[in-house]
Amino acid sequence: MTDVLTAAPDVAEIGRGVLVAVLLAFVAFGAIPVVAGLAQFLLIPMHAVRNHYRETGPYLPNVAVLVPAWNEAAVLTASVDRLMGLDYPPERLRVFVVDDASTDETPAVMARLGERFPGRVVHLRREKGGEGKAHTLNHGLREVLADDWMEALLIMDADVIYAADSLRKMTRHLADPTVGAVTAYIREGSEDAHGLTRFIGFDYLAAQAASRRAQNVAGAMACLAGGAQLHSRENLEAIGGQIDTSSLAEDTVTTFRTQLAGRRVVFEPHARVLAEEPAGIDALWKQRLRWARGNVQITSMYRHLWFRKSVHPGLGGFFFGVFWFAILLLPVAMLLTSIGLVGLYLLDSDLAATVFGAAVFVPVATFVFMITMTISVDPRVGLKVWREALLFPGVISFAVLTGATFPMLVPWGGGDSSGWTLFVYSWLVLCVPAAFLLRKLELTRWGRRLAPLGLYLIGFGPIMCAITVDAYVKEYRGAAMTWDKTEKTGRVSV
Amino acid sequence: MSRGRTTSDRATAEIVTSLAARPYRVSPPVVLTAADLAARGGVLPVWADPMALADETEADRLRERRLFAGLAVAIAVVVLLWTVRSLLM
Repeated sequence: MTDVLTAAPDVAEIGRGVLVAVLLAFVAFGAIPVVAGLAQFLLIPMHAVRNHYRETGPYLPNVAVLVPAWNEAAVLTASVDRLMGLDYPPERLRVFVVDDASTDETPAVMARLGERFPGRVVHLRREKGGEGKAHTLNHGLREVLADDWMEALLIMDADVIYAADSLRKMTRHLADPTVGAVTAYIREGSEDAHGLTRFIGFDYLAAQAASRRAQNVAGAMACLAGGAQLHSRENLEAIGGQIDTSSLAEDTVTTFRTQLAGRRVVFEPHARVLAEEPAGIDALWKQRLRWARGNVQITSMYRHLWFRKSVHPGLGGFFFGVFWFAILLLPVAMLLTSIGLVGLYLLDSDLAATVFGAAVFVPVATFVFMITMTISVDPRVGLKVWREALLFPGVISFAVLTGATFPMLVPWGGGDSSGWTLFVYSWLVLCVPAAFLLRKLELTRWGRRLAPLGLYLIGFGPIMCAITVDAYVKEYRGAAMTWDKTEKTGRVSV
Repeated sequence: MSRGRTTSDRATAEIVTSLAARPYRVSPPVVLTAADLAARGGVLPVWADPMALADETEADRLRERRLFAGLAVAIAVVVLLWTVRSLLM
């Protein structure tokens, strides 16, 4: 009996030790996305020596441009005009606009364009529309593939505007027979860039110009940009001549199919394309939710692929798997880190402070490294959006990180600050419901004016995490796969 | 964990090998008539001149070397941040 009583404190001590170890593991799990992001950004400079330029050739194939359009009258004329003005042999370029049963002025606009560019601009109309972009593209693909003229196919969005030299900078990669598809650098192109579009501008800079260079180096591309994907005819035929209609991320499926069929996908950073992006949080949410749900669907669709190099050396590689899951599981990592820190604080506040203090410089340094590297890949855009780059995690997180990095500079650092400490540890997860509330706020009459302030406070990054959470929930509940089209107004200018 | 190489994996590997052995794709030379050239103010477009296309590619290849400068700046900013923090702590 005495032995049992003396042993009891040891059991409690062991239990506490195990709990501390589990909580520390939770905090460590949160470091995975940080390390994955750093690894990816360390690959970017390698693109200076490991790129595809030495394997290109002066190849100028017959290119059919496929433009899916549903009620795009506001932007079609500018887009087609720019396409016709591309610095590319005119007789080797034809534009096919697939009108998905538009109810606006699209048919009239196309009739005028057809008259201006006879034989070079073709209007294909679907009488029954509303099935989504992939169905619309497949309608056009059937028409284009039925004719032997096309040697390469450019799939784009109705609102995007190509720089004059962009197409020939893409086609040069197709000279290499191992390349099946090429994608370009899409930039946010609003003339009147404000808060949200500036955040998107930085997001595109990081996700397109920076991240895709790293993917070029790693030899595996996650996604051909939906608005700028050039395929060789051979590649289209090899993947079945049709675009996937079973998921919400048809462009990612096409990218995976191309690579799994043995062809390479190359990112061309000097082929520049401007796109109009959502100007409101709700519109952005709908667009990104579609992308996030698509990624969840693809994770399941290609479950045989992850971390299996035998299936595909690039897509099945360790690097690509970690990169893919680091983004997909970011909300889980944030939740576990928050639970870990709050749990440690409740068990041993000194230990929690030590862990947080010791660990905080790594994500801060990684964040600073990543945004500097991102801005350097396109300084012209980067210098316009550097504030949004710094505030990407939100003003609150920025203040928390600054306070943790330079505790002597913040007034709330000393004294009894248990309330502040708990808030800091919890904010990683609280910012996600805050993002949901921000979306609701924007939809109210009085909240619309406050939404931009809320955007800066909560940050663009947490909104993306909240959208990923929403995607999990919608996929789990089997919500309908609706194609919420982003409203385009023709704000883009060169 | 690995399920090993399947028939489709081997087929893909064969495709990769056969594609790598193929000659590069070429397009027929662009014919630019005197009228076309006159319409362009007598300036030969880049796409009509294979040497200009090659120069453009080489310029883009060399431009990628700026990434090393970006890396140097990024490392310098992180070192500066660490130094300032160390001095203030």
